[in-house]
Amino acid sequence: MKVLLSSVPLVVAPLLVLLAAFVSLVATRGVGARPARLAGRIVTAGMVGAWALLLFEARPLLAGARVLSHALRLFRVGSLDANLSFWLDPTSLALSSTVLVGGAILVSSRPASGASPRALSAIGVGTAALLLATLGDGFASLSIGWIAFGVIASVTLGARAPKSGARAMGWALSGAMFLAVGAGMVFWGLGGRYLDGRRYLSDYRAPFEVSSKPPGFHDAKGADKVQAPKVGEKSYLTMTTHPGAKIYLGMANESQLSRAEPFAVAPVVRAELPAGLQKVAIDSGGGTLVGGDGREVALIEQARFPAGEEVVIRALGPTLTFREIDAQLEKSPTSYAERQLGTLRILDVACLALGLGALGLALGFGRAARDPGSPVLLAFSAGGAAIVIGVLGARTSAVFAASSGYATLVACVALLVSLHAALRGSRALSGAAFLADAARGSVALVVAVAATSNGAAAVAAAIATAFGLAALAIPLEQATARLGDQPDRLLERGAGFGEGPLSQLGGALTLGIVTVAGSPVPLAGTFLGLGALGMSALSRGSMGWLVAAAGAAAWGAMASNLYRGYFCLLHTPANNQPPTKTDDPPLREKSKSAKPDEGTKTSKSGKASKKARTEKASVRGAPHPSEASTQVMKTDGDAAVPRDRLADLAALLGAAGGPVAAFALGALDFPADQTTTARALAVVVVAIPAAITGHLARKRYGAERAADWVASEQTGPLTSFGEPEVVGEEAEPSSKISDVAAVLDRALSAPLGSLTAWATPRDRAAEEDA
Amino acid sequence: MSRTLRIGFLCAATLIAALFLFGSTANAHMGAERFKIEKRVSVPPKGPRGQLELRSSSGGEVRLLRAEGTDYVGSFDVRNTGPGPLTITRVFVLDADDDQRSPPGLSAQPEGGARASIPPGQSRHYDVTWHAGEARARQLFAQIVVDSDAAQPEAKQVDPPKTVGVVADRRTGLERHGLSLLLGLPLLLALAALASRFVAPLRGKVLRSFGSGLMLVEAALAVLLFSGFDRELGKRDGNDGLQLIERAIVDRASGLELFLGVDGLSMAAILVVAVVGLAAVVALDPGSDSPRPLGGAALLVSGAVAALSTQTTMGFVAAWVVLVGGAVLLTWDSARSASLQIAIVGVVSTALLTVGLRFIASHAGGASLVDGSETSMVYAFPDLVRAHFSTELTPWLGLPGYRSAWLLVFLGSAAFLPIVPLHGWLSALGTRGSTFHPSSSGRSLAETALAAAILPLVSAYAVLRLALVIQPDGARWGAESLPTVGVVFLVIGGLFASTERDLGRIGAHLSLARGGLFLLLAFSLTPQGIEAAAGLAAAFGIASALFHLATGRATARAHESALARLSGIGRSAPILSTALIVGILGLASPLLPGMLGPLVGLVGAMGRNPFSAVAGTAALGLSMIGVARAVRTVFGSPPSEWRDSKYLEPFGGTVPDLRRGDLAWAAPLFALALLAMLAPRLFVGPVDSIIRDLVPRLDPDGPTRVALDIERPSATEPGARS
Repeated sequence: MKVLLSSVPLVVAPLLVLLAAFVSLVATRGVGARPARLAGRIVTAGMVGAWALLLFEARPLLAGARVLSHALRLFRVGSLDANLSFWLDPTSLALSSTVLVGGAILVSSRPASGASPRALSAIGVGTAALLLATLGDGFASLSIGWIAFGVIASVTLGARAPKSGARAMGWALSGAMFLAVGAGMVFWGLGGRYLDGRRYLSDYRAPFEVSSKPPGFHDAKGADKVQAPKVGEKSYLTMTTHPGAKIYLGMANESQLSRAEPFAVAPVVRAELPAGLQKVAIDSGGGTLVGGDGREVALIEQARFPAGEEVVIRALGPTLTFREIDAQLEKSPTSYAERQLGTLRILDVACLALGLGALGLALGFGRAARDPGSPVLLAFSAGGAAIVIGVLGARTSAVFAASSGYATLVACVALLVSLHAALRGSRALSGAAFLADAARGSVALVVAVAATSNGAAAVAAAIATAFGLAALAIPLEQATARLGDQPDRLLERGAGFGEGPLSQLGGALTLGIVTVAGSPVPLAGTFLGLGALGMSALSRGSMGWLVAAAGAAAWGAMASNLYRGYFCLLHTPANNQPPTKTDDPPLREKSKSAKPDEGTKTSKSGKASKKARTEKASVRGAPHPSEASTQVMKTDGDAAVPRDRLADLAALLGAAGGPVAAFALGALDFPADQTTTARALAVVVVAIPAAITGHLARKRYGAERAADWVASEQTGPLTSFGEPEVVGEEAEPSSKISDVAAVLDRALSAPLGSLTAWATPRDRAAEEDA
Repeated sequence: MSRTLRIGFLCAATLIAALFLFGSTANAHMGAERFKIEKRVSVPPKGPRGQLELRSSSGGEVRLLRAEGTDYVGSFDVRNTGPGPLTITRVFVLDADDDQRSPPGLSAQPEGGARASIPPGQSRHYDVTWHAGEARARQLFAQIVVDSDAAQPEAKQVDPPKTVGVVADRRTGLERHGLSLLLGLPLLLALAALASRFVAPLRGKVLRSFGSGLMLVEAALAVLLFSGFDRELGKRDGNDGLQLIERAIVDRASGLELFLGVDGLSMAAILVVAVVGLAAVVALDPGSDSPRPLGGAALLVSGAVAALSTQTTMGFVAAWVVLVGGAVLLTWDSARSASLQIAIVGVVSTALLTVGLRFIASHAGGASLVDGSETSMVYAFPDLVRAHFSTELTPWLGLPGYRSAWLLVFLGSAAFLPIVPLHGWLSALGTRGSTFHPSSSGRSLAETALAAAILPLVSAYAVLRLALVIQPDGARWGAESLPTVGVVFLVIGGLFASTERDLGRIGAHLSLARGGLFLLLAFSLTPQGIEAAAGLAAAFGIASALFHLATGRATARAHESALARLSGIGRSAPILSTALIVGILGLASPLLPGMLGPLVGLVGAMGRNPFSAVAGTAALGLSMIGVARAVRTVFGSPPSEWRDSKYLEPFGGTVPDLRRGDLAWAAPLFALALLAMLAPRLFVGPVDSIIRDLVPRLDPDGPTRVALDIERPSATEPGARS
C-alpha cells in the first residue's frame, strides 16, 4: 500500500471547524437580528471548508494510495508512542464526510427552529472533536475525539435537560475508560505474554523491522538474493512510524549521533539514498526505551537497500496505531491468539473492553437523551456516537475477529439494549421519546454490527444511522416548532407530514425512517449492517443462532416502532384548533416574549394575516425567546404553516445522505466481505420482515386506525417498559449505597477527625461571629 | 495550657523521641568504601613519603572563568606537604561509563606537561579547561580526582585519592539565582505579613497589593525558567541531569549543603505552584484584615518551591516543615479543624521522613561535597541515587533495612496525597464550601484551593523522588501491594464522590480517588505509568485550584453548596461554569488538563498489574458518576428560590458570572489548563530523561521485565537492534 504525506496538514480540517465555531460565538455577540443565522452560516462555512480540504487531499485515494499527516507528538515513553496523527483512507474519508456534511445539515437547519448561537457553536466544536476520532490514526486520537465529543455533546444536551447531560457525560467517560482497557490489552498483547496468568514477559523483539516487502510477505527460497548495486543507483527509504524519530545513516558508533545531522526525520516517504548496504540508526527521542542503556538508539547494522526499490521501516511489537496493530495481527494471528491474561485470552479481554466502551457510548446518548430539549441536538449526539462506534468497529475489526466468542457476547448485549429501547419506545407518544428510543436502538445496533468484525458494515451502518437520525430529527423539530404542539403528544395528534405544505418534510421523514429501520429500499448502510450481522451470526454455530434470534427480535421491534411513529406522524392534527395554554412548566419559554413585528419580518410569507395570528399565539414548544424572532407559529391549521425551504432541503439531504454515502463507498471499492449471493439472500431475509412489519404498522396506525388506539396501547405487557421519563429535577432520594458510603466516610475520617472534632464547632462559631 | 498546645507538644515530643530512638541505630552502620578505582598503586614507596594537598585559588572548589569562545578555564595546585617526594599517578574527571557525572569537555593538565615527582614542600599547578561548546549543559559541577603514592609514615597502603570540585556557569543575570529568587520572593511576603502585625498601615489593601505583585513576579519568573528549561537534557549530559543548580556548603563537618536544582520531575511542578500561588493570593478574601492567610500562603508557596528544588534530604525535610507550617497558618482562620488535621499529618509525616531519610543518609557510603571534601553522611539526592541499599542495610524494625527505610519514607511522603486514614483534612477543607456566612459574600475558597492543590502535588513529587528514584529496591517491594491499595482508594473515593451531596466535598473525595490513581500508576513501575503519574500530579494541581476557586465563587454567592439546590449556573455564569467543569473533569482524572496522561498511564499499568489496572479503570467509572453529578449543577434552569434569595437579589436572582477582578485568578489557571490539554508534552516531556535513567534500575533485566525491547535478532527478516 502506497503512503503519501499530505500537502496540507490534515489537522487543519478540525481546526477550521473549531475556528469557525469560536468566530461564530464572538461574531454574533451584539448582533441584533438573526444572530443564529449568522452563526449557522459561519459554522457551516467552516465545515464546508474542512470538507473541501479533505476532498482535495483525498485525490491519491483514487489511485489506491493512502494519505498520512502528523500533527503533534503526545507521549513517547517506553515502548509506547501516542501521537495525534491523521490517516486518510476510504473509511476515514467516508466517516469524516458524514460528520462534516451531517454537521452542516444540522447547523443550517437549526436557525429556523430556534437555536442559540452558543448551541450552534457547540455543534461546531463537537464536529471538530468527531473529526479527531474519524481521521485519527490510533487509539490516542480516538480517545481524545471520544472524550472531547462526549463532553461537548453532554454539555449541549445538558443545557436543555440537566439529567440527560449528566448521564450522557457519565456514560461517555466510563466508555472511554473501557476503551483505555481495550487499548492497553492490545498494546501489551502485541509485545509479550503474561506468565502465570499475570506477570508480563516481553518477547524481546526488535522494535523496528526493515523490509522492502509488504508485511507478511515471504520470499521463496533464494529469491531474496541481492545483486550488488551499481555506482549511482538509488534506493528509497520510507518510515511513517514514530513521527519525529531521527534516522541516521552510516554512523560508526553511537557517540557520533549527538553531532551528526540526521538523514531524515519521520514521517518520511521515499527519501532517496544510495543503493546498497547501509548502517541505519533510529533515535526515536522522548522517553523511548530500546535497550535500557541510556542511549536508546535502535541500530541496524546492515540494512539492504536494493536499487530502485522502496525500503520501509515499520514498527514491531506494542503499538497504539491502528494500521500497525492490523499489520501485526494479520501477519501472525495465531501467535497473538494464544496469549492469555489469567484464564482469558488477551484479545478476548480487549474485545470485551472495547465492546463495553462502545456500549457505554451508545447508552449515554440513547437512554440519557430520552428527555432532550431539542431533537436536533439529540440527533447530533446520537449520530456522533454512532460515528465514533463506527470508527472503533472499523479500526479494531481485527481484534473482534480474533475473539469471535466474546464479540458474539458483545453483539448479544448490544442487541438486547436495542430491543429494550424498541420495547420502551413502543408506547411513546411524544416526538422526543420516539426519537430518543430510535436513536438508542439504532446506535446499539451499530455496536452489534461493529462486533461482527466486519469493518465495512460497521462504517456503513454508522453513516446510515447518523444520516437517518438527522433526517428524523429535523422534521420532528420543525414540526414541533411550527405546529407549536405539545411535544409530549405529537404522535397522538399527528404532525401533518402526509399532506399539505409539510409533505416535503414528510418525505425526509420517510427516508430517515426507512434508512434507520434498515429497510432494503434504499439500499443503505443499516441494511448492510444487518446483513453482516446475520451472516456473522449464521457462521458462528449455536451461539450464532442466539445472535440471529436477538438480532431479529431487536431489529423487528425497532422497525415496528419506527413505522408506528412514521404512520402516526403522517396524520394531520385532528382538531385543527389553536393549542391551548397549559399549566405545565414549559421546556422553553412562551413566545409571548418575542416581539411580533420581528416575527413578521423574518417570515418568508410576510402576510399580514399571519402577523395578526402570530401576535395572538401563545403556545408551548416555542423556541427560546432569543430566537423566537425567527419563528412563526402555526395557530389554526395547515394552510397557515410557513415553509422554510432551507430546512426542508436540509432534511431531504440528510435523508438522502445514507444511500448516497453507501453508493459512494461502493464506487471507492470499499472493502466488503459479502458475496453477491449473500447480499441477495440478505435482501430477501430483511425485505420480507420489513414488508410485513410495515404493512402491519400501516394497518394499525395508518389512516384506518381505530379511534381508541392510544387507550388500547396502554394495556398489555409492553406498558411495563415505561413512558418517557419525567423531565426536570426531582429531589435526590436517599439510597442504601449513599448511607453506607456516609458511614464509611465517617469511619475512615474518625482517626483524624476525632482529634480535631472540638475545633469544628469553633469553626461554625467563627463563621457566625463574622 | 490549651488543647492545641498540648497536641503540639505531644507531636514534637514524638518527633524528638523518634529521632533519638532510630537515629542512633542508623549511625551504627556508618562507613563504606569511598572510591572503587581499579588498578591503582596500592603499596607506598619506601622511605620518606609525600603527602597530598589540593588547593584552589578560591580556597574551596575550582571556579572556572570564561576565556576564549566557549572555553572556561581555572586551576588548582597539588602541594606536597610530606617529607618525601610525591608522585602523581593519575588525574582524572570523576566519571564512569554508566555514571556520567560531569558534562563533556572537561580536562585537567599539569602546567607545562610536567610528569616528574613533586619534591617535598613544592607544588604543581594544574590547568582545568572546560570546552563548553561540546556540552549541552549550561553549568558544570564536577569532581577531579588526583591519585598519588602519598601515604602516612607507617601505612602499608597509599592514601585514598583526593578530589577537588570544579564549578563553571555559562548563564548570566537573574538566571544564575533563579531558584533562590523563587524561594525568596514568597518569604519576603511572609516577612511583610509578619511585619504588618506590628505596623498597622501595612495591613489590609497594602499588604494584599504587595502580595499580589510579588506573586505575579514569582509566576513570571517561573514561566521564564520553565521556558528556558532544556527538556532533552538527561543524566548522560552531566550534572546528574540537573539544571539551574545552586550549591553552597553550609556545614562541612556534618556534610550539610545548600543544594538547589531542578530536573524534569520538578520543573513543571514548580511552574504549577507559582501560578496556583498567584491565583490563590489574588483570590484571597479581600474583606479579611488578618495577615495570617497571606503569610501562610507565602510560606506554603516558598516551602513547596523549596521542596521541589532542593536536592538534599535535610533540605527537603526543612522545606516540608515550612510547607506544612504555611498550610496550617493559611487555613487557621477559615477552617480550624482542617488546619489542625494538616498539622497532625504534617508532624507525623515529618517524623517519618526525618527518621527514614537519616537512616538512608547514614548508609549510603559517603560522598563528596561541591568543593570535593568528603563526607560520611550522604544527603544529596544524586549521591543517594548511586547508592545501593538492598544489599548493604541490615534488618531494622523487623524488616530488611532497605524495606523499613523505604516504608518510613514512603508513608511520610505520601501523607498528603491524600491516603486513608490521613485524608480527613481535605474533606474538612471541602466542607468549607457549605459554611459560608452572609457577611462573607466576597470570600472565596482560596485557602482551600491553595492547600488542596499544592500539598498533594508536593506529596506526589516526594513519593516519586524519595520512594521511587532514590530507593528503587524498596519501590519494587512496595509495588507488590501499592497498586492494589491504589485501587482501594480509587473505589473509596469514587464511591464517596458518587453519593456525595455537597459540591465542595465532591472535590475532596475525587482527590482521594486521584491519590489512589497516582499510586496505581506510579507503582506499576512501567515507564508509561511513572510518566503519567508525574504529569498527573501537575495537572491535578491546576484542576484542583480551578475547581475549588470556582466552587468557592459559586457557593459564596448562592450561599448554598448542596447539589440539589445548585443548578442552572451555566445559564447565568458561563465562565464560572466552564471553570467548574474544567476543574472537576481534571480532578476526576483523565480529562482536560493532562487529557491523555492518565489513560496512557493506565495502559502502561496493565503491563505489570493487569488486574489492578482493569479494576482501577472500572473504579474510575465511579468517579465519573461523581463528576456527572457535579456537572449537573451547571445545567438546567435556576431554582425558583433564587429569585427570592436575599443574597442573589442584587444579581437579579441568578448567580453572577466572574467579575473582571476574578479573571486575575481565573485567566492564569485557564491558560495553564489549556496548555496542559493541548500540549501535554510540555509537562510530561521533561520526565522522559528521568524515565530513561530510572526504569532500567527499577526494572532490571529479568524474566518479567516490561516495556523494554532488548536485542534479539530476527531469524526471518532483518530487524533493528539496540
